[in-house]
Amino acid sequence: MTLGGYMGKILHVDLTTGESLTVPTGEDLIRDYVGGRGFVAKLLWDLVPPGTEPFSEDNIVVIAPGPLTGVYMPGSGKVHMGTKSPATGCYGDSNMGGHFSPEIKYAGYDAIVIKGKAPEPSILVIDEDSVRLEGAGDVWGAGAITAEKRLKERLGEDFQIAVIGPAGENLVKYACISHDFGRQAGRTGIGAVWGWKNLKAVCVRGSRSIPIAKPREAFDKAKEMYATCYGKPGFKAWTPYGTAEVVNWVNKVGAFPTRNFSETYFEGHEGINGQALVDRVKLIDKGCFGCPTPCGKYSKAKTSLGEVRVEGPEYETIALLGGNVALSQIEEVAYANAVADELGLDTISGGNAAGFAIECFKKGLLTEEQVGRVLDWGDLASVVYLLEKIAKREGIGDILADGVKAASERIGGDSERFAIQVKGLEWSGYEARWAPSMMISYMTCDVGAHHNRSWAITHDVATGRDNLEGKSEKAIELQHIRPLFDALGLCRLQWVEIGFELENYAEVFPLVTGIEARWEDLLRVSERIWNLTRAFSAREVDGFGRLWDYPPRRFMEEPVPSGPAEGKVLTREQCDHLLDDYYDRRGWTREGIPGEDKLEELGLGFVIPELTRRGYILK
Amino acid sequence: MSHPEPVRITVTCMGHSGCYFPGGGETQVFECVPGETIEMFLERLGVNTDLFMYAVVGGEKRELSHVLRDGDDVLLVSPLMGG
Repeated sequence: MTLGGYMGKILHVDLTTGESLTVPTGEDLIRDYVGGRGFVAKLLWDLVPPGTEPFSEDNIVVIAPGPLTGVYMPGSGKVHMGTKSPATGCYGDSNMGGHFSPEIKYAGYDAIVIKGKAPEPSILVIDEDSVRLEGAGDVWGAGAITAEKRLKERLGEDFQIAVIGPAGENLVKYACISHDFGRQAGRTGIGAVWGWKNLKAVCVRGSRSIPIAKPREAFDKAKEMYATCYGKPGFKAWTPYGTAEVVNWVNKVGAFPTRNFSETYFEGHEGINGQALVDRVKLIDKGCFGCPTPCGKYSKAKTSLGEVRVEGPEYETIALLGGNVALSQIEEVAYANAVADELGLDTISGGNAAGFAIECFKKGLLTEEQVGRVLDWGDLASVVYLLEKIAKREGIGDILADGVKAASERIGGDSERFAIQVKGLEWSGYEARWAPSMMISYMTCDVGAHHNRSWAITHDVATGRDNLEGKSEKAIELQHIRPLFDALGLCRLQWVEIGFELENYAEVFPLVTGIEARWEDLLRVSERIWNLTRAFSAREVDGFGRLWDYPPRRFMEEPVPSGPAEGKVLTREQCDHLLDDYYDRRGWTREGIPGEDKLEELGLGFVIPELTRRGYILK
Repeated sequence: MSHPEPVRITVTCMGHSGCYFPGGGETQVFECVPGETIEMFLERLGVNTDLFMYAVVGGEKRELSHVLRDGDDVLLVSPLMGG
């Protein structure tokens, strides 16, 4: 059966043998998991043998568009990728925009599943029905941006290419996937898994049409959606600045990562905010497939270390490679951004690692001899030095390349207290000691300390930042809504940035797919996926549960020293209160494991035997 | 003694902040106190000013310290909701 929005088959590639095959996209898979993130979660559960090492032939990478990807519609250019994460050992995923995802659909696939390990550095070329491995040649060792350019020259401009940089080749556990010269699937170290598999790039070209259940109605609805986006009162206000727009506000409410999250207000924010971006470095806006509100800003920046052109910096990069290392000039942030992009490093984890190393150095836990130079806050040369060492796994970089949690275990002292992570994944751009809903969002995010599943600071501000009531409930609500976009294959920025109504997506889904699902039905799918990713992590990590959900000790023990959030802290007792409330509302045990009743209710009874075998009590 | 002319403005909330604004985020007409800033106006309504990053008034970006004038068309811009 081929429903609208689906291409009807999933491509499986074994890098060890070079063989590939296709299997029909199962009706059950579509009905229960929709696509994108849902396919990633279910295929990981089914195809990764329990206890598999992240760096092994049995670990897989799933690359999955969604049913609405590539369709004429706002924001329909997203792709989701997942693997057993080398950064956390848990479920790992990340998504990116650009034009890669629609091309997978046009090539005829609802997902690509990659296993094995190529015998030599290779690229995977998918040209509709022709699927082949080629030697990577001169792109192995090249930077991610450079490699994409060379592969376009080698294969043709009409190929869409996802690629890793040296960080991925060197198994840096927060190496990213890069595409479109500046879009990244940045989180959870998927790039390192590609690197281990000797996979430098996936190159896709296709020309097929996507079937649409009700083409005229879907087209009319999509036209209306674009018109609605362009007519939104916030459209002209937001678009010129993109996500950098929020720097001033995050700083004002005392949530801006500053000097490795030791502070939450950055005195130099005006040099790195949205206005500085627009006035000093931005050349043009740059959007993804189908985008009416381009958040990408292509920039040129000149610094003491040289001149760069880069897509960005966007908010997360400004926060982590700006405030978190105390760089106060947008040109310097752009420069560090460009370095990280070429190396193929996630700027969030990379900025965390740099901030962590500088703090260790300032506290005497790392010496000049160990590091190879003096490190200082606000010093671009220090930051660039660290990023390059990390990507090459040289010296101090080899320690930092495993993430700040693992690095703190090697460096010792009290560095574990200020290794800012959850589950081994570094914290993104919103400090949460005075934002309990945001805090529980980070604590329970299924991939580690990431903001994009639930972003709840406005809820904290609106409902009181000192009280804990209702905060877990809001996090759960958002954890179902926001990742649903990742299952549908859509960008959520039109919704979150300019208030584009969710009802539009509910209306268009049946027009494209022919599946009569209400929004509530789709949210139920999202809840199912959330429970499955949790079950996957429980299956893969010994003793997984509550202990994996705590924030770093800095956030529970150190009151914010100054600024708008001065004196604020969320104690361990308060975090426990949030967790108890969260687990109860989810139908999980107080150890944070999905309960048997909830699993059965969601149609996830098939995970119960495995979790029980692993010793979890599900009642 | 003459009374100051009333100041009438239209206010629209961008994005999700409308959930926390009296009457919701759709365009509404309000009467303001002469000399009132956007920040003072919000505080008078009991709205947390931290919910908004800035305003767009008549197409121009303005801080919340902007003094409201009769006929101002005010768009309150809320923080985005994460990437």
